[in-house]
Amino acid sequence: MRKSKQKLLISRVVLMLFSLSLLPLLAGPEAATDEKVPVKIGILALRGPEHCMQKWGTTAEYLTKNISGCIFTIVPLAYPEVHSAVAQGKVDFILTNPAQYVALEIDHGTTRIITKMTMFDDIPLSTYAGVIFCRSGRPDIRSLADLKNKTFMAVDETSFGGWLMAWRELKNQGIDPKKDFAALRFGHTQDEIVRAVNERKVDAGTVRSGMLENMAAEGKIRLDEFYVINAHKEHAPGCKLPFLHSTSHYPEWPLARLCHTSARLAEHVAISLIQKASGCRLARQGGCLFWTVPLNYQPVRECLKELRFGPYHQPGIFAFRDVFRQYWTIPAGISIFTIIFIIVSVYVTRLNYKLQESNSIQKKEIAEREQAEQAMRQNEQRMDLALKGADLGLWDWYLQSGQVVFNRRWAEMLGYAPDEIEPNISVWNELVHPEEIPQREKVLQAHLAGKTPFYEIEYRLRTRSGGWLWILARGKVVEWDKDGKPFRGTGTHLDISERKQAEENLRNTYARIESLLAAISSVLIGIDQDNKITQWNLLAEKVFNIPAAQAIGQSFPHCPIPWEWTETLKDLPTLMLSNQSLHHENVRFHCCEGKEGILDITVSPVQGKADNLREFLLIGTDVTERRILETQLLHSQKMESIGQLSAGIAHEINTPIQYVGDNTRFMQEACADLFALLEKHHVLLEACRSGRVTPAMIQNIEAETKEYDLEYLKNEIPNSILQSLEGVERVATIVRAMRGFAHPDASREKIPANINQGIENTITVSRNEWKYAAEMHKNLDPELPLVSCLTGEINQVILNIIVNAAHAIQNVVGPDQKRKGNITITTGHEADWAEIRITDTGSGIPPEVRHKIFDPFFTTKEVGRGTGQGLAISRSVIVEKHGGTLDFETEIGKGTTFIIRLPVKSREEAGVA
Amino acid sequence: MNKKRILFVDDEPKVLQGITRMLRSQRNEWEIATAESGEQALALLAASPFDLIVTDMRMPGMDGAQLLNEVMKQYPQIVRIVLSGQSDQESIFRSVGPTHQYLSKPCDAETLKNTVERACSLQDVLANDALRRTASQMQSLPSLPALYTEVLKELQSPEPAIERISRIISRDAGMTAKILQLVNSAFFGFYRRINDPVQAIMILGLEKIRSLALTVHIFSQIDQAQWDRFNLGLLWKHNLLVGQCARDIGQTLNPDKFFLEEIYMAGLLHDIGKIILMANLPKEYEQVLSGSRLLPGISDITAEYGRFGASHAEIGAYLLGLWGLSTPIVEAVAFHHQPSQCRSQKFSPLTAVHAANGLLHEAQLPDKEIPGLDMEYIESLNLTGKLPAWRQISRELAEKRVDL
Repeated sequence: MRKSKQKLLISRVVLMLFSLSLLPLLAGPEAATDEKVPVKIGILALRGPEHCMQKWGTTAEYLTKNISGCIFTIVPLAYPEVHSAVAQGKVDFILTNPAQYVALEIDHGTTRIITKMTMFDDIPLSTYAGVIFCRSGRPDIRSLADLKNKTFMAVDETSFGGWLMAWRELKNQGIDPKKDFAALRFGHTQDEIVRAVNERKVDAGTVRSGMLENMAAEGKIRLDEFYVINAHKEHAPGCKLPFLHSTSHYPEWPLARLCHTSARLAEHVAISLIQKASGCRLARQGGCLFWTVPLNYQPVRECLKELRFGPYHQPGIFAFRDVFRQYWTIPAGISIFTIIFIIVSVYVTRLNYKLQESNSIQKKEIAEREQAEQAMRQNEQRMDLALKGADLGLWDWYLQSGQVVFNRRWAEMLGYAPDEIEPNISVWNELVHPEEIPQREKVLQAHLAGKTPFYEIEYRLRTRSGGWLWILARGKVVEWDKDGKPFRGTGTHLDISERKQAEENLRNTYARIESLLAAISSVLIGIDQDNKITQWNLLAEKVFNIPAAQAIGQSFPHCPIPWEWTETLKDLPTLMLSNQSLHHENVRFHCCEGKEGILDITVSPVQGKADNLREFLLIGTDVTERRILETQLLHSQKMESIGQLSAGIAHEINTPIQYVGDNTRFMQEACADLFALLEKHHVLLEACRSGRVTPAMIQNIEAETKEYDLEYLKNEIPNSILQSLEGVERVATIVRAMRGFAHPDASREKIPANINQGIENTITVSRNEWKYAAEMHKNLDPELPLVSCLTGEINQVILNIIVNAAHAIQNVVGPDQKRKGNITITTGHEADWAEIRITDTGSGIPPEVRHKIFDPFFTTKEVGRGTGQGLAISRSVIVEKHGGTLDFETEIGKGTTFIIRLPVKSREEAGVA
Repeated sequence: MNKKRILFVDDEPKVLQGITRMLRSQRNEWEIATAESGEQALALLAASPFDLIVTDMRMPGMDGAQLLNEVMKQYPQIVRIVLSGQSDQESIFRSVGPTHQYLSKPCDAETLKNTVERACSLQDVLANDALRRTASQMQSLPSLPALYTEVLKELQSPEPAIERISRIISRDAGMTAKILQLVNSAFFGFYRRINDPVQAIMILGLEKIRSLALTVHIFSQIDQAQWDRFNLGLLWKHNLLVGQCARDIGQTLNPDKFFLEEIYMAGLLHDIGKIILMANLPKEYEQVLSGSRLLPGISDITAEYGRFGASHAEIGAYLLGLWGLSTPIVEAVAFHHQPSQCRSQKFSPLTAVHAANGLLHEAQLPDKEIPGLDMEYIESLNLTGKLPAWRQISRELAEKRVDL
């Protein structure tokens, strides 16, 4: 019952802490930018504050970046400052040596979250020791015992590697530093000690293991100038310390959170640092700091207990021994012996009293210690909770027995209750995804063989429900048997299924984007701010015949894209500074095999990640087919109207041909008659000459002349010649108009054209369409400037409107054609615009269809009379091709006026000007 | 001799002047009048009689089709010809009914002269004004109901087959004659001498045949009353037999395909005048036929002459002439009972049709006295030696079962 209550309490506290710590984290990145929570990490500056900042600055930056809502700063602390900084809560985390940590744990309830590791030759070390040394040129100092009566220098009274470890070793050798050394001095930084020994200021000194090697690596000292006393040659099981050292091994520095710091934040920090460490390791970056799960600090506590130091300092006993030892050795004069005796007696009596007092203090302290230990146990539980919060499963594997201890989370991750999993490696092995068995085995064996410092693998485990869960497993061998074979390994499991899912999603998204880009039926080119091509899709490859591998990375303006570079395309980057899209139509390009195509190009800026980073996306649509179709549609409409016109034109031509032919036949016959008559007159003339004219001859001539109807011929021959010439001219006019009307616009370039002439031609070729319905009136502006246009297409538009006008008039006058309407075509100009107005006296356009008349396939005419394409194409020609306008005014029963307005100068010309 | 009076109508005065000048050489035979509009033309027609009218199609106000329809109603004896540069289908379709022949602009002087001349001379073939009126009013020749229905059914089917349609039409004299009229005139912008109905149908195309049959109604069928009155099945079978027999006879002398087609056509159409009479003057014609049967020694022909002043041969020839079918066919039809009256004195469709008709009658009804072969005519062509072979041909055909 009590236990469960306690658990409840703890969970409540944790929950509270958790929810409190969550607040800033939940606020989200936007809100957090305004008020970031400062987080201070106090660090014991072993080698001075500058070195400390240099060493840890990047870690603070990394944490700030990784944990939103917090700004991490490093607070370098000297030995004496650590305690006060923690006591006053000036920092949120503390990284200090194990001795100070143990003290802080007891005094202030700080909780270690992870243990730092040091790197040596790619091997992360989680333990360290002390090294006791002298100059190598001191043959008198070869063992710890030789240090008696020598001067000795250590780092600080509280320095663990730089004093306490050595002290414990000296003490075990029966050396009391305070009594047996000639002098004991503290140098405060590690470098100071080495320097002092090197400069012969002291006989010997102690620093943490690795320091000598580091300084030698930094070129500050030479290793052969030093001699390490009591050097440990053998390796302790489970720890291969590659440095010179003279003491037992102790766990490395822990990073601890103060009790005011939220467990949630601590988790984030711990996870971030561990992840960073693994990232670093993968990248094999130098200067990285490594972390591991928090180690056991029991050896440190034992050391301090032995030395009665720090939290285990017992002032009473200490005072007694001190005084006792101090005065025991003073030679006493017999003359003052009694006085001293009395004094000593009195002192002893008082001392006894004090002892009793200190006994009670001792009892009290034992109680306090128990309390501290209980706090520690609570901390352990909290750690467990933190691990749980961090979603870490723990495992502890005894390799030789195959026994594995899993924590609850380990099992829960896979959907099992802890007691559902048999604590054996074989069970674990069976859960591994078959695909990952070989890789896991490989990684494991490499680590067991000592080839890798860590065992680390991402793999899938089968869950209770039969699914697969992605796990990041990390661990290492922590103990070896006496043969050096791995004995025990521990590590963690992290559920990374979300990350894997995210990665999978990312891969899918990427693949989708890739396939989208490939599927886009446009040329797609990405250009970065340095004009380098970053993107080159499948169609770009196809259209330009340049493989992506060759194009990507090239400078865009220098890429041999086979299109007609315009200045605008070359000046792309400058243009893009304005941050506007650019559209370029009808860019010609040469595709493979000498074929030509046309692209419509749009270039748009794409905002990069940072504000100043800009990229451009060039989308080119191959409009060759469309342009061809457009031309064909226009052409087919033209052909259609020419077909429609041809019947009319045929009639218009047939009529003069008919009478020219008839007249010519008549003249042929008339000439024959005239020549026959002339012949008769010639006979008469001959008779006259010879004077043999008879009245019968004259009568005969008169009869013949009457017979041939000379009067008729006299009148009709000139008439027939005149009409024939006129007829020929009429045919010629129609043929000329046809040629002018159906101007092929072969070059597809606008040329200055006489619009009035075009209108005349169109009226002529369409005469048969309107002549039965309307009278045509022309009111053409003689001053009309030449208009740059595609003549054939403009004529087509005018024809469409004239034919519509005739039809509209037929609706009014009806089929009897007795009355005729009027079509009036007016041209005019104003500024740089030419205007053509075509007015009919037809039925007008009903309001309900007015908005639809320009729609393709919209027609009010009966089947066979109109396709509904005329006005749609007309609008396209006027508006899109010529940049003009096509409007209309209409009144029911009165008629309609279509107004075409065209710029005198084409867009192209205007652009040049 | 009376001058033929011809009226030309066109909205373009220059065309009229040109035609007038061009026909100056005929000034002794023809009297030319001109009108610049349909209304003016009708006014002239009301003022004085004309034999022939030649009109443009597209004119402001009343157009050519309207004018000819009016003329057909008021002055049916006038031969109606179109001279037009128009080629849009709609106006052509409207003109198909009232127009005897169609000429397209530009039309050369010879064609115009020949066409007018032929039309004028036709009037001399058929002396009876009333019959002329009757014939020239006919827009279609009635078909055998069975064949007519079959053609319409086929044309209305979702996927009509032109081969089937050709087969049906070529078994019917009326439909064949109409199709040949359309193809042998310039209605559809071309002008060909074609005597094979199958070929004619191919040229016109399924679409045009369909529109013509279903909307312009170029085909028609004989009333049930006439069907009951006359033994039409026998007549149709006879037409087919004469066609086949004449062709086979022709083959013995001239294997030219075009020539044989012309002979077959002439054979198929030789009794078309009977159909005209049955359709238009059923009572009179019935009287004629029954009268001739009651009075021995009097042939149908004689009876027809007695009643109408003309026989079915002249009436049929007149209509086919109006419709512009070829002269050999028209002559064969006109003179198939009296071949020696024809100016042409060489082996022609007339010879083949006359022989086939006579020999088939002889083979089918050996007892009845019917106008047989004109032996003098055969002899004059030096063909008497061929007769046994021809007789053989006709006998074999007569014994065969003929299906319509």
